[in-house]
Amino acid sequence: MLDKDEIREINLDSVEELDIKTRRPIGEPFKKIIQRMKNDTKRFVNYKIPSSSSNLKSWVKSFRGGIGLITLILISLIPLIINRNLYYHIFITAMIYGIFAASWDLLSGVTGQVSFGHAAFFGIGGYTCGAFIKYLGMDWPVAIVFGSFIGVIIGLIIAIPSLRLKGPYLALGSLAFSLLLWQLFGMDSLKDIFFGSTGIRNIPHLTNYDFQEEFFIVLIIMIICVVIMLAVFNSKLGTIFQAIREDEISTEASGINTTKYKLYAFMISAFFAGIAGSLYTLHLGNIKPDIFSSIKSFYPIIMVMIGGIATISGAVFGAYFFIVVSEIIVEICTGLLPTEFLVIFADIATFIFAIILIIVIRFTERGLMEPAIKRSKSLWDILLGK
Amino acid sequence: MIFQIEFFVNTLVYGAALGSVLALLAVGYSLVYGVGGIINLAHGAFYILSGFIVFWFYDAGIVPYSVAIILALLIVPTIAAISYIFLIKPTQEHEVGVLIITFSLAFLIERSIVLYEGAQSIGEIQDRSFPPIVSGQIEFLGTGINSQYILIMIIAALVISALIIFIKKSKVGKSIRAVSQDKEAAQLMGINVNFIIMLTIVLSAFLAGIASVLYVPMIPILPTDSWDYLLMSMSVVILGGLGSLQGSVIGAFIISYTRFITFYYIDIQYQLAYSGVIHLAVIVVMLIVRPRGILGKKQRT
Repeated sequence: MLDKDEIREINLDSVEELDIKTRRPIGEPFKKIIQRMKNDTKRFVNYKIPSSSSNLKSWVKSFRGGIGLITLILISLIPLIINRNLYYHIFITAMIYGIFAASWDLLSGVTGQVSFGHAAFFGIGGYTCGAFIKYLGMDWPVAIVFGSFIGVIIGLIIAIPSLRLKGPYLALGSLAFSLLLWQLFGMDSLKDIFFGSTGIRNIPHLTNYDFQEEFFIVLIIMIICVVIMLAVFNSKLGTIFQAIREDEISTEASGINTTKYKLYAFMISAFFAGIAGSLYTLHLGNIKPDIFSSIKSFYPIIMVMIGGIATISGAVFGAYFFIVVSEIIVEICTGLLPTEFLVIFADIATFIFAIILIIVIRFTERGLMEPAIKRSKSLWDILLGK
Repeated sequence: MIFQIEFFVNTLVYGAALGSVLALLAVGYSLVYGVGGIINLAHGAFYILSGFIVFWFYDAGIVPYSVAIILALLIVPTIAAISYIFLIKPTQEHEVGVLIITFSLAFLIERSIVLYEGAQSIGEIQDRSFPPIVSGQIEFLGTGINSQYILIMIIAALVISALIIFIKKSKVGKSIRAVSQDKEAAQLMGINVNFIIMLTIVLSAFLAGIASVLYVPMIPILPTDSWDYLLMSMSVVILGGLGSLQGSVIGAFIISYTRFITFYYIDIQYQLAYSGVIHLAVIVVMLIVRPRGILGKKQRT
């Protein structure tokens, strides 16, 4: 996308006056912006698969690619160092939430449709996947994909009324919807359709509790999901999403059907959130109505705020940061406080993160990592001798 | 079933009581939005926080019951004012930022209560509750009603009328109306806009506190109920119109009676109305069809 210097260069003197008869609403600088968008998309449309070696080399050399590759290698090496199931659980949960947070970022950060009820998609993916596996005996890959497709359909149901809502109303509506699902799935009187307060139990695990194998499976799935989302972000579709976020009226004015693209954003986001939910269910072996609780909607917000809003990779980073630091806090508390407080340690972590989120929002606009990333980027360039 | 006098009386009274409580909550919520443009997602949290504070002071036995109530009514508005100064005001320009901050504030409050209390409710078990202000029952059309419900209605009516008179007649009330109409113009006329907005937030927290102190002894609350009450306040305010106090009151009674009528008169299996369906349906339908609400003013941009 354009950065600030490029925007300043656009010469506003060349704005055409509106012709009364033909009413051309688009002035020169706006045409230039659109032209640059097209050039950008042509440059980045092949981001996803660095198929040719020249592409691969330049991708690795770029800041994001280099750091991404190093991180991937480090993560893949993790199973060699850890042998406790708890640590596997931490990383697997982090990866699952990474997908979830990235999907929220795609909808809310990139397309600007801020949703406070993303747990709805998460939970529906989880419930459908669990139900499919337990009651229909599907294999887990099929169940995950099917579950996510059902999630997409629900996403459409949520999206269509949401199209007319702007800003805070959209957030409120999505929050209300997730709270509704929380109550609906928790009502024991509707046990036949909605599984009641105990949810679905005894779902066979992905790899029969071999956490090491599960780690790699989830890692691969996460890489695929995040790469696809990054591809969307850097493609023409992503540019349109960002245009919708920045100025929906201008986007509509330049001939893009914002309704259609907003629906796309909801659908893609719901799909990946559904995948995350399915993985979550498979990892835990059960699912309860708490998956729809407001706190689960809170997680992606804080993860993305930490990692930097509107960057998909930031969401994954934020997820790791949040989960790992939460666990560290829990460990510290275990050391400090007597064990009768064990149940509230997770709450302490969330409490601390709520404070962090408040501080982050109060003092930064786009998330914690942006200044840090800017400095690291220049450092990287220096290292590579540019 | 409709003709069983007991059900009818129950619906009438409980509906009116919940309606009064919702009116108190919604009037505060609507005031904050109408004047400051702030959508306070922590409103439900303020409600339950007041309840819990009374309970903690009462349970610890340090202070007498009336002092506990006064303390709660002082502490929660103070917390609201502090959170306004430090959290809401700086992020006022970003609408979504305000939402996220109030959302996290709500979380903070809920989690602190859970940290301190465990996720237990107050009011359900006899000794984990604080007594209502008036006890005993009144005979009404053949059934006994707890007198507290009558007290709720009386106090709610008094408080809301006082508030409306205050806004209509007093000088500060005039400033509030001025700020709600045009913030910049009010500032140009020498009104301290920040103080006025903070005042509305303090008032709304105070109203929520009153509602909580009156209603919690009758209807138990869990810490996680903050979202339930937030959802109810939201639906009432959206139904009645953001920024319109009378609309909030009307909306409160409509929602409350809908809830109770469906609770009593529809089959147990279909008690969907008892869940958030009604509130969600109201929110979604109203936002699509008539975002202004029934009595709302023109949409603020």
